[in-house]
Amino acid sequence: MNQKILVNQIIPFSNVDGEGNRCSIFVQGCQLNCLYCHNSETIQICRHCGICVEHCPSKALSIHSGLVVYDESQCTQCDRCIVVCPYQSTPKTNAFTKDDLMAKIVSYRPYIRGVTFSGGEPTLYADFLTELAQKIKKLGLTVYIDSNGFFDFDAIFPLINAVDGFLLDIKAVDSIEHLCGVKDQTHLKNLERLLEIDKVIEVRTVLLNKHMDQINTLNQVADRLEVYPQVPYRLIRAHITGLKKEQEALVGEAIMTVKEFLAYGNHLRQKGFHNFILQK
Amino acid sequence: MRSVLNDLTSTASAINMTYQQKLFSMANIGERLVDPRASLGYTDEEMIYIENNMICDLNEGYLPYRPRYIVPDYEIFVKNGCDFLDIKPPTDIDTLLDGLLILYSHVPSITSFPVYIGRLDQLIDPFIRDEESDYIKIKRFLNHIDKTIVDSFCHGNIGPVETKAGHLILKAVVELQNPTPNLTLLYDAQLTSKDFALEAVKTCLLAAKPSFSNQVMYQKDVGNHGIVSCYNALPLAGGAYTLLRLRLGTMVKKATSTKHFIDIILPEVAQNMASMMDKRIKFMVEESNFFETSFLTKEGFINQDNFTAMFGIVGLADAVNELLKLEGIHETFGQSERGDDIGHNILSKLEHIVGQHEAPYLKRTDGHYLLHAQVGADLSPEDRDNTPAHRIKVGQEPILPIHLAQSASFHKYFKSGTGDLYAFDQTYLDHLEALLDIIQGAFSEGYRYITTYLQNSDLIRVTGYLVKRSDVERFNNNQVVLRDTDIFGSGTNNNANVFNRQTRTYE
Repeated sequence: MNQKILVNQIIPFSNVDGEGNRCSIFVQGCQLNCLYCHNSETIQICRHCGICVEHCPSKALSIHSGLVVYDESQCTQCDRCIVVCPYQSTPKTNAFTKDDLMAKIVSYRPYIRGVTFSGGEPTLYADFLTELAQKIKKLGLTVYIDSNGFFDFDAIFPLINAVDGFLLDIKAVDSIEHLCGVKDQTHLKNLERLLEIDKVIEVRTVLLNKHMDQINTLNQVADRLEVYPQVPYRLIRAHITGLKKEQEALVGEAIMTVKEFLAYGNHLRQKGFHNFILQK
Repeated sequence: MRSVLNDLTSTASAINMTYQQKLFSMANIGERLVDPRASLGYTDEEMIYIENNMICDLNEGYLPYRPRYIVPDYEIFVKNGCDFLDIKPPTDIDTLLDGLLILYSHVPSITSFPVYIGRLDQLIDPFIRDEESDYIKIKRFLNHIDKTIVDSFCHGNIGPVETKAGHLILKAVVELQNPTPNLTLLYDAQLTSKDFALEAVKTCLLAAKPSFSNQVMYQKDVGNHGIVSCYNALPLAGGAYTLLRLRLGTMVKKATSTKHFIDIILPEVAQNMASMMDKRIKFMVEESNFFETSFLTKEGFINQDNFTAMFGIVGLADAVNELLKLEGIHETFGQSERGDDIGHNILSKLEHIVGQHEAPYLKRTDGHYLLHAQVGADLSPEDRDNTPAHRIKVGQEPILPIHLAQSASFHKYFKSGTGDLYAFDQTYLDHLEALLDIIQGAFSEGYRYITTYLQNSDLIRVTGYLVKRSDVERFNNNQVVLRDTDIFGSGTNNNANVFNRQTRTYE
């Protein structure tokens, strides 16, 4: 069982991916394509076109047998490769087996409360992560999945069953196709089903102007969370940092001011919903 | 190191010292004018190791007439008051705090300032009547200490149990933003409530204290104790007679191989240091009459039986780096498995040597010195080659989880104290639980003591004590500053670049 998974990045200690100190593992690959995605290089798997190799100033990239090879020891993290990649990908990924990942997690274990899989979209690798989650749980750690909400609930149920819960995005409702390129409303249905079995750690919505139905999205989530007081709703103001130039051209003017952002908090309060966090 | 008469002249006319700093400095110079061969019976061989900087005696002087660190049991004052000072037992918070301030000015140490001022929350809590007005008194008390005990080695303890007084102290510490007193939470996961621990974490980020000590581990190794000076764990109602230190980074310069260093140089220098410590203790006990004359002994604040002494090291990283070079390995301590092995081999050997040595008047610790990871408070240029304790050199630090695991493995040797410190970024203020997870994890892995601060704060932990960056800058510009530790802070930063430790951020 030497199956591997493509990992974009491992953050040994993260304080923003669920409660306490957690190890965050970012998988490569996502089926959505959101206008404001802050790590759009995690969306596609590298197709080994080689464009980045020519642009790497520190010779950390090379082509062997038609494949782009990344040498981390030479990399200066200038991210030039990510800037020039026309395919929303990165050559800076590493393939790990479950044992590779477990070895890292074991070494961090005394200092962390759990592991959060983020991405990319972790549910794309449900089978791999199910087994990995079971192993992690045996260490006495919790496992969270940071998901965009678009997955086949029944198909990935073993993963849902294996983990402690989801940090679930509800990015938009009516405007989800414009914002993220998906047509259906699976995410809302999945939110409901996860809530019913107590598998939601928190719900998250990134707010920006114009491109989404802000009030409708907030209302849809708040209505569903009303009877689950243990589940907080986190509103995050979209930022310009981390956006690629072409994204910035598209959504730059839609970034909210803090004042505009805080008004959505007021909206929830007026609605009688108070269990939310504003991340300016 | 011995002084010369000229040191007195230059001190008298120094432009960047207060009157009090000059007074204490000149007294210290006086203690070092004496020839230790005459006063203490040091041999010529022992003197060579002081003169070639392999052994640093921290300028303790050659007529040791008081213990270096004294850890009085201040509960005695609450029970009995003090006969010598003619103070009755305290009846309310005013007479308690007033009495403690008076007592502090009569507790000697190597710096002449008290290095331990008690388990403050436990002393104060029984006298709390009205939190609002008592808070003002506690804050005034702590501020008084900062302005009169002008030496941030002065150390108070709180915990492990949560008390009202403990919370009020933490609140005052944040508001005051003072370097002194140093403060440590004696942390015991079984006894310290989560709320109190989180409050302490927050305070530590906002005011660079309290630090966290592993109460369970120290209680096992030292028994009833106080955390004093930088982070020394010393017996309560006792203390440490003396502390000398091996400069491993200097000793290694004579080594021709790892084996030569560990088998020949280390035992030879270590034995000389142990015998010097023996002589210092004998003088203190047999000739200085300290224990016969001090009211602290007579009235039970201290007992000579509870005194031990500290066998210090500095510069493990430098020694290991040099030995790695000799072995032809291009790695540095902290990011080298072989480096860790060499480090452990050095310390195991030293532990064995110190464990074999029978020292006088050390009843409390079975006749043996306790190893101490000394962090340096010295202005000597030699300390450029001697990184504090077993710490990784600033600039050679690995990522945090690796750093924690690496250093945790070295804490076990140092029963009389070691500790590590980490600078974190602002995001942790919103995620206190994450930082508490790291602290608890460190303790579960064998850490004795851990502390933190925000990288961008004015208050900064130098090696174990606190300074304000702004004060150090003033001293560097030849201006007079209040604390002797500000002066040490300047020297240590110049030597070890501690103001630029790696900031730990979540990505």
